[in-house]
Amino acid sequence: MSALNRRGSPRRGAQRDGVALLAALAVLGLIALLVVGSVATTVLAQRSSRLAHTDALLTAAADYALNSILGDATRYALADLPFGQSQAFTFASPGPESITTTVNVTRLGAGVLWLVAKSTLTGLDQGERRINFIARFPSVGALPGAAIVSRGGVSIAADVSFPSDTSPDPDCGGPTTADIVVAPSASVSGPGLARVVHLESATDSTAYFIAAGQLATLANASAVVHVHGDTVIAGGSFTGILIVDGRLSISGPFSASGLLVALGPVDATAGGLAMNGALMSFAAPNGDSVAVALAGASMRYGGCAISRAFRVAFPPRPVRGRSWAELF
Amino acid sequence: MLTASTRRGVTLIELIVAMTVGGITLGLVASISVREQRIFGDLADGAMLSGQLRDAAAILPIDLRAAATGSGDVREARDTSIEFRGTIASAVVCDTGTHSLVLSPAVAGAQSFSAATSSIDVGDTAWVFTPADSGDGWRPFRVASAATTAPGQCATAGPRLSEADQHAPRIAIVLDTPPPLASLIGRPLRITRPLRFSLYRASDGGWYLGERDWSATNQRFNTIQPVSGPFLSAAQGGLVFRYQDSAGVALPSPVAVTRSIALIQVALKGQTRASTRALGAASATGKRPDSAFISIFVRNRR
Repeated sequence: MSALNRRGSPRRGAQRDGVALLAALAVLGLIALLVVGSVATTVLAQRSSRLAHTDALLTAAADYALNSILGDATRYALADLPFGQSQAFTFASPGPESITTTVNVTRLGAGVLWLVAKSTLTGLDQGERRINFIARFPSVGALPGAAIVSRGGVSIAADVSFPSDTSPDPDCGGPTTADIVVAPSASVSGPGLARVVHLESATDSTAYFIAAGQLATLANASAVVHVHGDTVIAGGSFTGILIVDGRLSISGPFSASGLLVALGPVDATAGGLAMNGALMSFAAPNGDSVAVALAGASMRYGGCAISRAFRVAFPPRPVRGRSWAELF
Repeated sequence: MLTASTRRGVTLIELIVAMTVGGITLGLVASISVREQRIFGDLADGAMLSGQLRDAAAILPIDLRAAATGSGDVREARDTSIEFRGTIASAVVCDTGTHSLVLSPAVAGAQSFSAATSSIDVGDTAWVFTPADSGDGWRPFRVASAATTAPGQCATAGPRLSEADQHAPRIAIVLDTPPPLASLIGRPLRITRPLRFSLYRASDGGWYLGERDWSATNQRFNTIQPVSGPFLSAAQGGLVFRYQDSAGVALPSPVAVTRSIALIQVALKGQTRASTRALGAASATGKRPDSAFISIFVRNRR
């Protein structure tokens, strides 16, 4: 009877199972809380570590992009950046991280470059970093003051023209007040159409970029052609900086953009010289002989062409002092 | 029959056994719970200390990295404090106003020509980049006033702003005895303000890493503000600055020639607020120590 009662009493059996279940659930709940708490603490610690890691990654990516651009000015055509207009370059940083860096480069006055690198990390750990860097194309000296600069006398034929520079770039020094600059003791012969200025600076070798320090600097530049001795140019075209240690003769149609400097006299009476930039001769005044003789030439003073030639020759460098800053 | 069965279930022996088992179980659960609470407390304490160390490690490099040590930005460098010119803004001069320089607008993205960490105030120093054939330089000018001005495109010699950026507000600053303003259009400039980091004892008795910025109005540093902490006391080495030159030679404190500083190392030490109750590795005080060591390479050394 009692056995039947025990078997036939599902209510009591259910009560015993319920107590065990409740106890098990309570312990499980407690364990779950502990696990969740531990996981949360670990996640927080990991997140903090990842933030520090992200910070370092973003800074390194921005530095990498900036250095890549400054280290390869030719590839990124920094010399040809339009004045004042921001140009963007995008980098995908090497490595497994999903970091994209955009560098905006803007050429400002005096050959200054304003660079801003913005690194963005996408994925689980997102972040951004902006770094500003200021670089400048080195300056070897002041730009020539006219299309022709000569220490000695200048002879120009009636068919030599001096078109004005129409470049709107405000970084080119603007229009000049003279077509020919000569030393005070030098004379200019010709039909009298050119604007001539006599300046003492025309006797200074530094104005011709041929002082010892300047020549040493130019010798290290990749885009400067230095001819050791006399040379004759039969024709063609040239863009950049040409330095001739001796006499320069141009015997055929020749188009030049940039700077032509001769330590000896320049003879371009054969006609066909089209200059956009400046022609300079450091030949000393010598009796009746002239330092520069031109005929059938078009001599446009091109401050922009000269500036560009120097920018191509000398890649930009970080400016002294406060070149680096973080942007927020 | 049901009554008889129920009576058997609540006999005294069963009740005592059940209560004993229940008591033991509750005791175990309570013990585990208390221990876990202690562990959580210790972990939270450690996490808090670790967080404070990380805060300091994140904030200090941002300000110190941009210091131009070669230009004399670090005024005083000691083992317990450092005073320097902090860069608070960078910009390209966009235009000129009436006796003022209009800075480019601060916008997001890499095409920005301006940004600031805090508002430019009277007495801040504007360092205007001055290019020269003989050598570039930065000319300092005192900021006489600063105000927001109307948006617009920059002058011809300045940067070209995008259509959207032309509608962003700009800041106009007036400088004391500036050169002809038009000649400054397109020039980069940095705005600096003296800052000082040091360890100080707060009213709660704790030692904190604090920052003070310069008040041009009062001609003294403002009240120190906590950056992070608490850390160990100054005597216990809670915050120690060390300096090296570009050759890696340690410079004794106080650094006599601050222009030679190339590397700033910061050591921070702290300990948990409460004694460790569950986790090991406790110090003699029962509190768990933690530390951070930061090396900051100064970017603008030349």
